[in-house]
Amino acid sequence: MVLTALFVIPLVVAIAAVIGRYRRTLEWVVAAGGVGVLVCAILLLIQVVTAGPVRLLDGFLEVDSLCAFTILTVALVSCTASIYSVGYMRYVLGNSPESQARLHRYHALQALFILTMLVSPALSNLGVYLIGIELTTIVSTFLVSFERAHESLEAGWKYIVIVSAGISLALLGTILLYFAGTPVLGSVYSLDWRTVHAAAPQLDARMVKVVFILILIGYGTKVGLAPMHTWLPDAHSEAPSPVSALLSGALLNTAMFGVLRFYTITAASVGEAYPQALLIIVGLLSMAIASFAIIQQRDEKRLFAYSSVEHMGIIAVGFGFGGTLGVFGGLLHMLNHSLAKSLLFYGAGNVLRKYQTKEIGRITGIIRVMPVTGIVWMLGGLAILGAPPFSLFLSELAILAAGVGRRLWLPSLIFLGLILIVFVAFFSYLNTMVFGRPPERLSWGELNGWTVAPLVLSFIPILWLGFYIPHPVQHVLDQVSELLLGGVSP
Amino acid sequence: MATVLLNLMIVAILLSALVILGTRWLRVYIHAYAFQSLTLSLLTGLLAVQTGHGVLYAVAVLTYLVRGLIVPLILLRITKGPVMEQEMNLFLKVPSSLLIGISLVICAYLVSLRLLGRQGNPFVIGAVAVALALVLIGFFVLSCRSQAVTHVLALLIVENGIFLGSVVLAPGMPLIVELVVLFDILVTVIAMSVMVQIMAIRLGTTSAAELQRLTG
Repeated sequence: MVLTALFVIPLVVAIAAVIGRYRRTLEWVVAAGGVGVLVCAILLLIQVVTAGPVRLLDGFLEVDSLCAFTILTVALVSCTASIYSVGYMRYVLGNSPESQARLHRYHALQALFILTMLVSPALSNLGVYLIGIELTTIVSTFLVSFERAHESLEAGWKYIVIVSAGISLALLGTILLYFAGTPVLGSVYSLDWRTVHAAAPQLDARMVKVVFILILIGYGTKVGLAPMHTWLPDAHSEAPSPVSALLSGALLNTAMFGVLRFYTITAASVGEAYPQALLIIVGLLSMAIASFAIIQQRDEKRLFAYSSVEHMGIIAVGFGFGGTLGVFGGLLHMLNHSLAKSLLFYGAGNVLRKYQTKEIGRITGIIRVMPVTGIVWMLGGLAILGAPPFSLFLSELAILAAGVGRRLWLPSLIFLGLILIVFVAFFSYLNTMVFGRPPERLSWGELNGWTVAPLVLSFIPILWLGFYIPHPVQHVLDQVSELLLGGVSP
Repeated sequence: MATVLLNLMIVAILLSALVILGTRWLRVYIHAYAFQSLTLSLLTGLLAVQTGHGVLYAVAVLTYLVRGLIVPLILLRITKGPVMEQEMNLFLKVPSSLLIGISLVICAYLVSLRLLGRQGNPFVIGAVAVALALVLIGFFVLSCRSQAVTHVLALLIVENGIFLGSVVLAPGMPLIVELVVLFDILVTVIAMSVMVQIMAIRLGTTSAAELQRLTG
C-alpha cells in the first residue's frame, strides 16, 4: 500500500508536468510530491523494520531493510531537491512563454528520474535491477544536458557512453553469475537475488570471483568509484543544481546498493575476505584520485563532485573494513553524505545564480551577500569534511575504528591521511568563498525562499544525528548491518 | 551438419565486427551491425532447435526485430541528417586497428580456452571466444574512434557479444531478462540518437574529439 503510493506519487507529478498548464500549480504539485515521497519512504521503512519485507506484484518488487534504507536516502534528497528545483528553475528559465514549456519538460524528467531511482532497488531480479539502473542513466542524461550549452552536452554524452559501457560489464557479470548457478539450480531458474544467495555456497568459487570484479567495475562506474569515475565530475558540475544534488545524493546510493547485493552473494560463496579486499583497494584509490583533483580545483561544483568520488570511496572502504562497526559506519555515511552533499549543491546553485560564475577565485564574501546560504553552506562544508559535531564525523570515526580494530594499519593510515589532505585543501577553498569582501555591483539578498528552505531542511538532521542517533534509526541500521553481515532476513 | 552451420555463423559474426575496424564509413558500420544481428538471431533459432528451449524461439524473433531491424533503421535515419558520414582523423589508421583487433581475438580465444578447459565442447569454446572478442573490439572502438554514431555502434557490438555469450552459455536464461535487455538497447539507442541530433544542431559537430572542454 505504502509501496504503491511511493511509486504512484512521482508518476502523478510527471503526468501533471506534462498535461498541466499553470506554472504556480505545477510548482506546488512538485513540492508536495517531494514531501509525499519522503513521508511514504519513512512509513515504508517503519513497516519493513517492524513487520519484515514488503512484497508487491508476486515478489517482482521486494523491499527488505537494506532496500528500504536506500529508498529513504533517495527520498530525502528527492524531497529537498523537488522544493529547491521550484525556486532554482525560476532563475534558470525566466518568464518567457518558451521557457514555460521547458519548465514543464524539466519537472516531468525530474519526477521520472526520481521514480526510476525509487523503483530500481526494489526490483528483486538481478537482471531487471540492472535495467532499472540503466533507465536512471537515460532519464538523467537529458537532465544533465538540460541547459544545452557546449559543456552540458559534452557532459551528457560522456555520461551516457561511459555509464552504458560500465553497465554492459555489469550485465556480463550478471550473465556469468547465472551460468555459475546452472549446475546447482538447473538450466532454467529465476535470477532472484534471494535464490542466488541461498545457492551461493555451492557455486564455483573461481567464477564468483570473476563476477564480483565485473560487478565492482560495472556498478562501480555508476557509483563513481575509480578508475571509472571520469563521467562524474562533468555530469555533476554541468547539470542544473537540483539535478547535481539528486545525482550525488541519491543516484550513487542506488548503484552502491547493487554492489552491496553482490557483496552479500560473493561473501556467502567465497568468504568475506576477498570482496572486502577489493572494496578497500577501490575505495582508497577513489579517495586518492579525488584528493589530488580537489587540491588543484578551480570550479566550485567540480570540487563538490570530486568530493562525492571521495565519499563513495570512504563508504566502500567502510564496507571493506567490515565487521559490525565498519558496516554500520558505511551505512550511516551513505545517509550522511546524501544529506550533506545535496546541501552543498543547493548552496552552489544559489552562488552560481548570484555570482554568475563557478570559478572559486571569483567568488568571495557569500556570507555578506547571502547570509543564510553563507552560514549554512559553511557549516555544511565543515560537516562534509568530517569535523565534529556533525554526523559525518561519527560515521568516518566508526569506519576508521573498524580498520584499526581489525589491525589493518596501512589502509587505516592511508584513509586518515587522505581525509586530512582533503580537509586542508577543501577548507581553504570554502574559506575564501564564504568570507572576504564581495565583488562590487552585486545585489545583496537571497534568491527566494524556495532556494533557502532545502539548505536548512538538510542541515537539521546532519546536526541532530551528530549529537545523538535516535533509537529507531539505530534499530534500522542494526537490522541492515545484520543483513549485510551474513544472515538474510526472512 | 548443424555444427558446421553454427561454426560458420560464429565466423560471420566475428568478421562483421571486424568490418568496423576496416573502414571509416558510418553507413557500412550500420549495415555490418545489422548483418551481425541477423546472423545472431538465426544462430539463436538454430540453438533453439538443438537444445529444445522453447523460449529461445521468441528470443530469436525479438532479437531480429530489435537488433536487426529497428536499431539499424534508427541509426541509418540519423546519419541522413546533419551528422557526419565518415570518421575523420583516425587516431589509429585502418591497418593498425585491424592488427590490434586480430590480437584481441587471439587474446579472447586464449581466455575462453582457459576458462572452459581443453576438453570442453569446441563449439562452445569458439563461441565464447567470439563473444569475448566482440566485447573487447567494442571497447577498443569506443576508445579509438571519435564519431558519436561509432560510439553507439561500439556499445551495440559489446551488447551483441554479451548476448552471444548468454545464449551459448546459459540458454535457459529467463525470457524476462532477455526482454528487458532488448528494451534497454532500444531505449538507449533512442536516447543516444536524440543526443547526437541535439549535438549536431547545437554544436555543429558529432565528433567526440571536439568535446574536450571539461577537464581537471
